[in-house]
Amino acid sequence: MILLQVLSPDNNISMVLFFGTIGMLALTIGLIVFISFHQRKVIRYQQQLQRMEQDQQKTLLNASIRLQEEERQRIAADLHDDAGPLLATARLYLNENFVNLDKQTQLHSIYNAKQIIDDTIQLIRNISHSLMPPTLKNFGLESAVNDLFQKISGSGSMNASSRFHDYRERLKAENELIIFRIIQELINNILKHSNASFIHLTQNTSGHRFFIRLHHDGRGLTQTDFEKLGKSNVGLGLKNIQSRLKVLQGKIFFEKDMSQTYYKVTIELNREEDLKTTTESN
Amino acid sequence: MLQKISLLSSLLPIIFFVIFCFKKATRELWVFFIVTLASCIFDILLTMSKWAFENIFLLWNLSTLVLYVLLIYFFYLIIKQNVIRIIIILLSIFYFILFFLYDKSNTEQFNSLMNTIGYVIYLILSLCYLIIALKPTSEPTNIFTPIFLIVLGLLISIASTFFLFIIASRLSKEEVHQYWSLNYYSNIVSNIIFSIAFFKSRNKRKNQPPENHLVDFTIPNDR
Repeated sequence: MILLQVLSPDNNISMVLFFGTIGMLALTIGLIVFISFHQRKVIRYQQQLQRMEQDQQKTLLNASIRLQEEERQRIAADLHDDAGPLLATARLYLNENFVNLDKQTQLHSIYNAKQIIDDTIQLIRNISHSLMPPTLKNFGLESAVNDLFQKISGSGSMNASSRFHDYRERLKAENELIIFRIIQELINNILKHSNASFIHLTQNTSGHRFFIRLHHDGRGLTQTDFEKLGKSNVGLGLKNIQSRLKVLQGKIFFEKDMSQTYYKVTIELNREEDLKTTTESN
Repeated sequence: MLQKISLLSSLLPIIFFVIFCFKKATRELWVFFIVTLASCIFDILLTMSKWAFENIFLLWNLSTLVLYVLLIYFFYLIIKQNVIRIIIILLSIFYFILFFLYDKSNTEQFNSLMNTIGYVIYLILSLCYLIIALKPTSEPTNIFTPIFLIVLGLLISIASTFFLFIIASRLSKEEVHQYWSLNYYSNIVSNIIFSIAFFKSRNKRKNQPPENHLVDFTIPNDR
């Protein structure tokens, strides 16, 4: 009926009513259509993000399991290949015929067996130290890192130095170990791939944030490379760093220095998290 | 005929509410149920009562005020942002002052001014609600909730009667009745949407996973 009235040219009210209502309805329907499309798009995007995050978690978990297995295999190989033969040799010196030997030979055998047992003790100590460095346990991260850098410098192949600017309060022991392992992994990568002539580590804090920065003058990674390697199947060490940082809720940044000569790696942690976990454990 | 269908359709959301979400409805849904109830009562009065038909403009003005109070409270409940809530209160104060100072004696014609102001306020608040609902969240959430459907129904109702209410004051009683079919169509469509919203509200509750008090997850064998 309104449509018929609109068609008569004299009826202005009907025209306003008809076109106004049609316009308003078109706007509303347009809005509803836009919302449904937008909503679908947002949900798809969020699902994609979740899937990517799950994949990333899976990769990290796989990397951590593989690393654990490698570590176990290494310890097993050390014990089997080194400690096993040493103890077997010591047993040979102290076999059943030992009592029938003359005193001189007995003394000689005992001396040899003692030497081998001492070597085995040293070997087992080395394995144990590689699992948990005693300097780190007893004197903290600063001493352990200084110790590590002195060893690198002592080899003569690279100039390594470290400086802790603000480390009066030690982090929780487990967190110190995780940070130390991350530093070890980074240094291992620098030694293996970068061809650098020096490494310098600095530690600092800013408010509740704890920073560790590594500088080197060799070939390095940028953040894009790190993220790319983190998603690929290679770069097990980097994935291991990522999973360790996840435990600490920390961040890592790889970048090239302003001068384009040095690469720097910054590890950023929140000390509040460390304090929180310390309080919880207490 | 159309008027009767419209009247019957206004019973639909009430029936759906009573059947599907009477026991579990949230406060927002209760307020909207009262809106549909009040709207239905006004429709019945206008159709059935001779006195109401003779005083149709007075009744429309009264229904405008009652529905405004209820709908503005509904928007106050669904929009959680404090800034917008303060704006709602200020707009309502402005609305009431205008209603009582300017238009309360107007019982001889349709109160276009107050209806239009009310509609503009609903439009603004509906858009505010939609913008807030569309904000990205960390978890994928379905925005097609019962409240969202109610707002959509309101938007459709406003869109289809907005111009009718603007020009209604310029029309005679006969002309108003002539064009009023638009209002009936709008009523039917929005009442169907409100009914779906009440029905969906029941589904939403039903889909919630039941809490399992029987399994003790601290027992090592269950890990």
